[in-house]
Amino acid sequence: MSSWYSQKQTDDVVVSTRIRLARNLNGFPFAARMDASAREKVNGLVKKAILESDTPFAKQLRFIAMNDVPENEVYAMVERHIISPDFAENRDGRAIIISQDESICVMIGEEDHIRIQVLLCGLQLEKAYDLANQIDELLSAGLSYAFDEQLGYLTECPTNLGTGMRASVMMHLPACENNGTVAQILEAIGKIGFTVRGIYGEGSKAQGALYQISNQITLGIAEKNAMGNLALIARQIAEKERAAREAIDRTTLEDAVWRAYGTLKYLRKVSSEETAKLISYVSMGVSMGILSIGDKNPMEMLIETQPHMLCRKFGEKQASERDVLRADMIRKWLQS
Amino acid sequence: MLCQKCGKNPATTHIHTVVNGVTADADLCADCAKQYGYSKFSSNSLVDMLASMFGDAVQSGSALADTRCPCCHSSFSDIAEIGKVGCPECYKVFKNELLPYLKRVHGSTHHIGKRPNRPVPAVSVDDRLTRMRAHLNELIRNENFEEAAVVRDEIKKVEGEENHE
Repeated sequence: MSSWYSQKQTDDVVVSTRIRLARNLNGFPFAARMDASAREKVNGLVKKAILESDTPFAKQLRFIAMNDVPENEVYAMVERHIISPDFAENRDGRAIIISQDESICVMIGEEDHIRIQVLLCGLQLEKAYDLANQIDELLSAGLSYAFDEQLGYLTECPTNLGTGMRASVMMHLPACENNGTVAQILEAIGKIGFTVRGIYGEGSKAQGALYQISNQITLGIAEKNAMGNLALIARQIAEKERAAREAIDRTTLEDAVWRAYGTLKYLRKVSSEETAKLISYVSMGVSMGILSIGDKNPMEMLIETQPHMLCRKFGEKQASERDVLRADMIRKWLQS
Repeated sequence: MLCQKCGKNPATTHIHTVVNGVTADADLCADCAKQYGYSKFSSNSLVDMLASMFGDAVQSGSALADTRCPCCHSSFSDIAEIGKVGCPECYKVFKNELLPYLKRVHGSTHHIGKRPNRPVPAVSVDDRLTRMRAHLNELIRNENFEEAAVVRDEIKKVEGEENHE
């Protein structure tokens, strides 16, 4: 099975779904206060609980110590959304347990001892939660979780306390961005306990009209209710986006989509920012039946041509060299 | 990484100075950084927000100022300074101080949902009320009337929501 961004798009607005469960172990300080030996112990415990279990996960997942991963690959993982930028910045004593298709990634020693992450294509909150929950069950059977009857799962940052669950959907909102309603949407959902971030998490800017929407409240609301609310919000935003797309003059829209497609097909050098803009148009064109790119997912080109993804594939390259390589890759991808 | 000055707490502040062309670097904990006049440096706006929400909860000389978590030795000021809790035990030691803050952030002080080694509940308002009432009784039994009043109000609110539906 291929990565989330290589599969055919299943939803015209929701690009991907992520579930993250934060868990900590009794008997250890939280990650910021852990020394090297505590980190090693926690890594060992989590590794044993998953990889020595009598479940299919033991074979499907593998353990990787972050210090063994080359620098470019570390940041390429951030670009593929597998690990957080913070996890990449401080790698000492940190590790991941990851599946072949990278849909499951357990980060060990990030802000919390354990962060179980499941990342899937399109809108699949329940399926993603179900997978994360299976890993959670496996870990809780073998480990002593820090849990308080009143406060729920105990986390280093009190904003994650309770369920420790952050559910998020990445949405492609070019038409709402274009007509200015995106700012209103973001303000409105902020008032009802949801947050919006750029595609690379906290503090990052929206690129290619991609917005990550997630639940903010984790204490006093059950997982299923939080996911239900998020799905409801996502559906409402998607409706707004569809209406905004339909409201654009068809000829103007078709012209913009085909221009972007033509540029991508023939360009000779291109920055990642421009690529994101052009791919955003092509993606909208595909969703609206203006053009077809077969089973290809436009997100694949966006992710595969990120700076570190290119260095991972072609070795260390300067920005100007990467712009040429990016253009080559995109041309070949569209012609294949 | 531990603080270069006290060698006890984790270093949370990196200080880079250039004096007359001579550069120096130091990694300090929040307490030691404060002594040198460096405090609340953080690029993380969430942490800033958290730290400011804890406010000046700790007044020097108060009983709380001397209380430290027996496990990780964090004081409440350490937690307030970086907006992060030291270890699971801290939640027991500083629960009363944290509850008002949790209420502000989450709008609730009671976990609803999954519990370790128990199936994920399909939560209904009824389940939530049953659990809250049990907690209220427990608080009254322990004569913790202040928190009991808070829980009682929460129950009333949930009951109100239920009647609305």
